[in-house]
Amino acid sequence: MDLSTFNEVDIKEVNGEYTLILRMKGEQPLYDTEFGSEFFHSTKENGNLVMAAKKFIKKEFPKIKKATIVLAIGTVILASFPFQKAEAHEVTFNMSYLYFGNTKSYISQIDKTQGNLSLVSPSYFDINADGSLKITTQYDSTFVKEMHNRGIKVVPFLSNHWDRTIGRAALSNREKLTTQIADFIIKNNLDGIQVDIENTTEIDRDAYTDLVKQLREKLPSDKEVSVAVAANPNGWTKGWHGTYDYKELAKYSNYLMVMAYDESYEGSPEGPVASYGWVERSIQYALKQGISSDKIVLGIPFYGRYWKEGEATGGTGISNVRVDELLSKYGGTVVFDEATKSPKATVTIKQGDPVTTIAGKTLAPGTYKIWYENSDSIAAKFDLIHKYNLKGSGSWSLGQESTAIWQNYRAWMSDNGQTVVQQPQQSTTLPTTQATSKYTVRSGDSLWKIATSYKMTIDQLKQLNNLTTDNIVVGQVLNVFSIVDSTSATDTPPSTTGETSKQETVTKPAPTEEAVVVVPPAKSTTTAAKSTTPAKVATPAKQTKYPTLKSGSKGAAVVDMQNKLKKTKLYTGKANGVYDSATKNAVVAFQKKYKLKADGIAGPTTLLKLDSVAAATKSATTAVKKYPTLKLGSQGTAVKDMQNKLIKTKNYKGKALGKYDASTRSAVIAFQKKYKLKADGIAGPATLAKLDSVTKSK
Amino acid sequence: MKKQFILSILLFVLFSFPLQLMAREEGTKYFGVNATVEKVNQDEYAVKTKGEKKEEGIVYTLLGRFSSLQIQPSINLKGNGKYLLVIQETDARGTFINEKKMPITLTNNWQTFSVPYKMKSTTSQIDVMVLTTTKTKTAFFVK
Repeated sequence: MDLSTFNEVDIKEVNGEYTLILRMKGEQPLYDTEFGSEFFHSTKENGNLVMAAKKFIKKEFPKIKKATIVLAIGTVILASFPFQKAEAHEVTFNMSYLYFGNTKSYISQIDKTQGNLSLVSPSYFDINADGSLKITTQYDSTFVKEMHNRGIKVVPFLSNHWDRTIGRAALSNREKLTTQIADFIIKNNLDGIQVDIENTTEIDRDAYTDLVKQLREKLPSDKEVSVAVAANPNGWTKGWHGTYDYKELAKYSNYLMVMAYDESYEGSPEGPVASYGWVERSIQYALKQGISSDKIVLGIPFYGRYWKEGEATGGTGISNVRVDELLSKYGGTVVFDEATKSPKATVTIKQGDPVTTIAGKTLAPGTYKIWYENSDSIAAKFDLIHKYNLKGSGSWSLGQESTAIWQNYRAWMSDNGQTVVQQPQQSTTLPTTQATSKYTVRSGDSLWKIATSYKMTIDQLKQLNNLTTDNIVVGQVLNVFSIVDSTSATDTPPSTTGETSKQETVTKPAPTEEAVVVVPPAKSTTTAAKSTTPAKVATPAKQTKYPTLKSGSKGAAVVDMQNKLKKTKLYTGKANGVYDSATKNAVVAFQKKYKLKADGIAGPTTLLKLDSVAAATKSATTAVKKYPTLKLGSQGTAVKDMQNKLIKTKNYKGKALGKYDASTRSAVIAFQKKYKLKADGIAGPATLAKLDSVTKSK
Repeated sequence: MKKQFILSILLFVLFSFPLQLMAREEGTKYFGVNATVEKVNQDEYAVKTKGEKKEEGIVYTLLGRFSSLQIQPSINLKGNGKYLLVIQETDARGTFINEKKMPITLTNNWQTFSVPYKMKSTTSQIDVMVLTTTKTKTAFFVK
C-alpha cells in the first residue's frame, strides 16, 4: 500500500475544523473487502490503510495539524477517523556573524537578508594579553542603533582568534573580564554576548563554564548569553572539543551555537566543509548531553574550501559568492553529492585566462575542486533544524553568502521547507480588502524598514506604490498597509519572525492620515508560506480538488498541468494531455526545484505548488511595469497617458495631445511638489509611478 | 656585505635556538588548572592548587614554530610530593592527538625535568602540564 492509493482529495473547512476526504481508486477490490469487515477492528490491512492515509496527509498537507479524515470510494463514504499531528516546527531565529567589513557594508549586507535575521554578532570583543577586554575598532554605536531600528539584536562575540594563550589569559582573568563585558554591554545598549573562545582544551573546561556562569550572573536577564561551541560529532573529550561542557554551559546560556563547519579544513584531504551526516552527528551529540533542542542553534557555513589538483595540500577558504563568481568567469561543473548533500564545483583556469585573487592569493592556472554551500546544501541543513526541532541557524559569516539564498530562507524556516500556498485563484476571488494609509519617507528610511514596520513585504510595498526601483526619497509619500486591521483575523498578514523586538517594531502606531480601502496586491508565495494558520489552506467558499497524475494519465488535467509546466519553462513539449516520459521528467525537475519528493507523480502537493508558481510567474510578468522618462519635447502615447492622469489629479487643465509642452511641464512640477517628489518637471519613473498610484486610488 | 653576513649569522642563531629553551623564554605564561599562579620572584611563580579534584596544577603552551618532530620540553620545579608532568599534542585544529604522562617527585631543591617527545606533525600544538596525582591542596614553584 502506497501513497498513490488515494487519487483525489477534497478539503472542507467549517469553523476552523478540517475534513479531508480521501478518495480511493474504485477499481481496487481490496478495499471493498477491507471495509466489508468491520472497520477499525485491527485487521492488518485496515491498520495499513489508516497509516497510509495519515502518512499521505502528513506528506501532502504538512501544515494541517488536526483534521477528520474521511475515506471514500467514489461517493461512498467508507469510514472516518481523527488525525492529529504534533506541532509543526518553525524556525524563528537566524543569526549571522559580522566579521569582514565595516558599518556601511554590514548594513548593506543585512538589508539584503530580507528581514530574515533576528540577531547579528559583530566582532567587538577581543582580549588583551593580560586577559582583559579589548574593544575592537569595529564597535560603532550608530550601527547598534540602526540594527535596533530594524528590530535586530546586536550580540557581539568575544574572541581569542584561536590563540590558546590569549584564551587561557581570558579564563584566568574571568572575574574582571566578565565585569568589564557586562558593564560595556549595559552602558552601550548591546543585547548580550556570545562567548567564542576557541582552541583551549579539556583542562580549561571548568574555568570556561565558570566564565559563562559569571556573565549570566552579571548581565540582566534581558541580555543574552550564548556560547559558540565546537561541533563534536565523535564525542571527543580531549583537546579543543573537551573544552565545552555542553550541559553545564546550556544552564547559563540562552543557547549554544554549534559550529558545525570545518569538517574539512586547510591542510585536510579534499571534502565538504559540513556534510549532512557530520552535521547530524554533531546535533545528536548535543542532544545526548541532555540539552533542550530549543537551546541549540545550528551553525551554517557561508563559505567553502578549494583544493588545486596536483598540489600536496589545499583547503583554503573561499566565500560562496566567490565560488559563483569563479563559475561564471571560467565556467565549470557543479555536482551535488547526494551522500554528503554538498555541492562540489570543478573550475579550470587556463593560461591566459583573466586572473582571480582570493584573500590575497592569486589562483594559478590549473583545476580547482571546490566544496562549498549552495541553496540545496543549506536547505538540507534546515531540514536537520526541523528534524531535531532546533532553535534556528547561525551563519559564518554574513557577506560570504550568495545573496540569492535569502529569497529561500523564509521557505526554509517553515516546517521541512514545505510551503503551504494559497490557491492564486482563490485569493483573487476572496473578498479580501486591506486598509491602507500614507507614510512620508523620513531620513534613514529604507524600503525594508518601512515594509517591516507595516507588516508588508518589500514587493508588496513596491507594488502598492508602483515603484520599479528600490530608490525612495525623503518626503516621498508611500501607500502602506494600515496597521489597524479592519478585516478578520485570518486576513492579517502573518508575522515574519517570532522575535519580540520585531513584533514591537511592527506594532508601532499607524500614521494618522485617512485610511482608504483598496484591493491588495496578490500575496507572494513566501508570505503565504509563513502562515501557520491552517485556515489559509482552504475555505468553505472554495473546495480544491487535485487528482494524482502519473505516467499513463491522460486528459484535461494533464493538459492543464503541462500548460503550467510550460510557464515554469521546465516543459517545452506540447500540452497534448498525455503524461509521457517528457512530462514525467518535467514533473521531476519541478519537484526537485521546489524541494518536493521527486517521484515524477503529480499529486496534490505538486499540483498545488505548480498552481502557485505558474500564477506567480504570470503576476511577476504583469506586475513589472517599466516607466519611461518624459520631459519637455517628449511626444507620444506615454505623454498622452501622463496628461490624462494629470487631468485626473487636477494638475493639468489642457488637452491630452501627447506633447510635453511648457504647460505639461508646469503640471508635472505642481504634481511633484504636491507629492514631495523632486520638482524638476521631468517625469521619470518615480513621478510616473506616483501618478499611477494616485490616479488608481481616485 | 659585512652587515649582511652578521645579519645572516644572527638569523641563523635565532632560528636554530633549541625549541625547549624558546618555550621557557620570557613571555612564557603559566596558567592555573584549578589553581592560583602568583609571581614571587623574577621568572619564579608559586602555584597553589585548590584541592577540589585530582589533576590540578599549571599548564603552558610551547610557543614558536617547530622545525623538528622531536622535542624535549623542560621545566624547573620545586616543591614536595608526587606530580605528573604531561605533554599533550593537539593538531592545528585543536583536535587531540596524543599525550605522554611522566610521574615526577618534587623536592625543596630546584630540579629541571625534561621529557623527550616525538610529535606527529610540526604544525601541532604542544601543552606542558604539571598536575597533582590526587585530590590535594598543595603548593609548588616553577621557573
